[in-house]
Amino acid sequence: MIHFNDDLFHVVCSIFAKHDVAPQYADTEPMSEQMWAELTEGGFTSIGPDAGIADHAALAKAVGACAVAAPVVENGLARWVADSSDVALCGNPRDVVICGGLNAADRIQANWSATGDQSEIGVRGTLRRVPWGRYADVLLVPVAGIDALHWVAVDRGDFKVTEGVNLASEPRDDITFSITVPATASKLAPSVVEVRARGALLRAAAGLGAMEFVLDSALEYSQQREQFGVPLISFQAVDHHLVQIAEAVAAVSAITDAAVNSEPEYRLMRVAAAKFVFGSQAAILAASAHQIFGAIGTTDEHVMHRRTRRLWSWEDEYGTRDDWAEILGRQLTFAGSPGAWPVLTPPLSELRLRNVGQEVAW
Amino acid sequence: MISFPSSRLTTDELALRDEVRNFMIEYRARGHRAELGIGATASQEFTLEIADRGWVGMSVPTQYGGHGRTAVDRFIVVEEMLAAGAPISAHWVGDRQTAQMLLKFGTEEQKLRILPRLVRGELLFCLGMSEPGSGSDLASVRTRASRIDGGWIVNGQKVWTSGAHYSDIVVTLCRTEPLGEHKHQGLSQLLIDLTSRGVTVRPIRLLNGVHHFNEVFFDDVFVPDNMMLGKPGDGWRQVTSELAHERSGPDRFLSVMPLVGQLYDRVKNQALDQSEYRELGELFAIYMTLRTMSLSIARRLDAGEVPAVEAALVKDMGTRFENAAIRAVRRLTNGEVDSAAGEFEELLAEAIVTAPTFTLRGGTTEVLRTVITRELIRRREEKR
Repeated sequence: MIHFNDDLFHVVCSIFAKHDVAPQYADTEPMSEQMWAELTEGGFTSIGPDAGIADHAALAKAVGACAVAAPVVENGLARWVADSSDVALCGNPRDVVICGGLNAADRIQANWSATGDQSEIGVRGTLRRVPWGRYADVLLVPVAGIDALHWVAVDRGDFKVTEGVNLASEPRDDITFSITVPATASKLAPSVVEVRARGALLRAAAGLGAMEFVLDSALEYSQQREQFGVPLISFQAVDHHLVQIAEAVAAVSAITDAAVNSEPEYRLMRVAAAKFVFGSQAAILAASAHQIFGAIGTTDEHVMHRRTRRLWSWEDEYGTRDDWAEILGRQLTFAGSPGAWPVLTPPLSELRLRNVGQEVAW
Repeated sequence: MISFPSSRLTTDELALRDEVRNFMIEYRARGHRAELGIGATASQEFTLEIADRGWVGMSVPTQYGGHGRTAVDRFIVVEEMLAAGAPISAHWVGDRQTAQMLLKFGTEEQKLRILPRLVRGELLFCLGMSEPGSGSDLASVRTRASRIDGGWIVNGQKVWTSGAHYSDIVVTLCRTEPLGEHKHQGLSQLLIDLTSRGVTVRPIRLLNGVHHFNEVFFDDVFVPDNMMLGKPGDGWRQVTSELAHERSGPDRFLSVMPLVGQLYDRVKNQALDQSEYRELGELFAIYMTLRTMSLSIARRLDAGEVPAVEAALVKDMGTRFENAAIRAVRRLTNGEVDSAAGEFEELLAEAIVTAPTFTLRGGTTEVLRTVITRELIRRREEKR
């Protein structure tokens, strides 16, 4: 039996814990440069092409558990894209690298005849809500070539940022750019669909970290807090909320683990299931948890909001629950299918034509 | 604190899966209608046929006539059968519970005498647990067994006894010592032959007229010593020991899979709209999730672990999801249900009206949730 890389999770959590801040509201959560430097020193900002999805998922889970304000997940995603294609990142490991072009509203245009000799391409783009965009030293964007997809690096000096945030005050910035790049052929590179799916899975993994934190806090509080002379846990109505929270954790944990450890050729259908289940269960968990914590849990000095606000944001990022439910429905419903049960329980040869698997190594 | 490590099926396990899957296609092609989960119509003929293939009492060791297979092998057989709507009820109790219980608590003589017949599908079991005054509070049972020379004399009444009308033996929880300070003490399980003098079985019909439940009356029934399961007084431990097996199985989320499968076959060739794809995608996602959870528990049982909380979570989530799945099927079909219109409509009608039993049988959602909370608190304290 395999699981997330638990050792890595604990190591990174211990670094995050040193930089923990008192919960309070900020319009934009500040990124701790000192923590980023420490992560870089430990090698966690560029874990390299040998690290697999189980390692990246462990980092993501730690980010959610500790409610860290830093682009650990997004930088890891973009560096994997660079490692999986032939984008050379000449900068240092401390550089923040972020992927654009993953939002459905993003527009990227390539002009292949900009200079006439086709040795250069003009690329212009408008990107919506790029995570941590203002901190990006390098932006990776997908450019549709004549025969293949190219991932192209855009340096900090070449793009313009309009700042925004998500519900958790994490930076989500609009970006525009217009550059000229050499037209070089690309080796097999991950598709936009695949990168978005990987982002979605890492959001689910990060969400799981936050959800486990909430479960533990809710159990603790229900034992300690007394009303009518007895702990909250004595009330069956409270037990029901606790079980809803536990079930949300159970479901997300199980399906995320299944996606992380999936056979590559069936990974994307499991990712779709994971992001849908995360999206729907995160909402249930957040509602039940806030009900248990009562009024104090809705204040900015309570630990809860740094997790629940992230969960409400992450539920929509890299595709909403409805987006992923539709994708999964379309992947698995098709003429010539041997039936509902066989498509739910791969391996199954008919599924190979349904784009349910990854294309490059995760 | 809660974990469900995932696993893939091995080559041998996949071969078993294909064998069962193909058998069920062939069985259904003979004209047998699909059945919904453990509420299925009993067919001992089916039980004997699959027992012949080695799919009943699979995990029973070979020295007791079994096949020495794993919990995961049994999981595979059961999930394939449930998904295909097999009539699994006749051997269900023996296969899921009684075999495990005999292996764990039975005497050597009992194992040698009873298990081979269970594995061959010849001996069918039912559970005498609930009583008119004891539902969720099982330890309050009042059926009494009094010691006499060579055995026990049983008096009392059981209720909601599924399958007592076709089973051979009722595994009966009864009080063998007077109720003392601790109600969990002094309970025992007797294997009572349903043809014994003094046993009366009366049907209780379900809300759709189906005969599934029974009342069982014991009036001075003599039960020989060799039908006491394990040691007298050990009943409560026995009953609660197999809960991880009982709660985590595919029967807790696949009851209406045959219905979903038939709906899927109707729509798979059509172009659907966005909301229909979403509805199907949601169902798929939750089936995939529950299946990975249930399989994870089977693996851990094989590894000798007892993941009690995880198993209870599967039962609660699975049985509530079955109800949600019926709602989804109704939204996707969107019309009056005419049970005479065909097999799909007949199954849908049955699913709708019997769905309330899903979250009651084998322990209600409400009691289960109290158990889960207590266990989570205990685990959390243990960790600190």
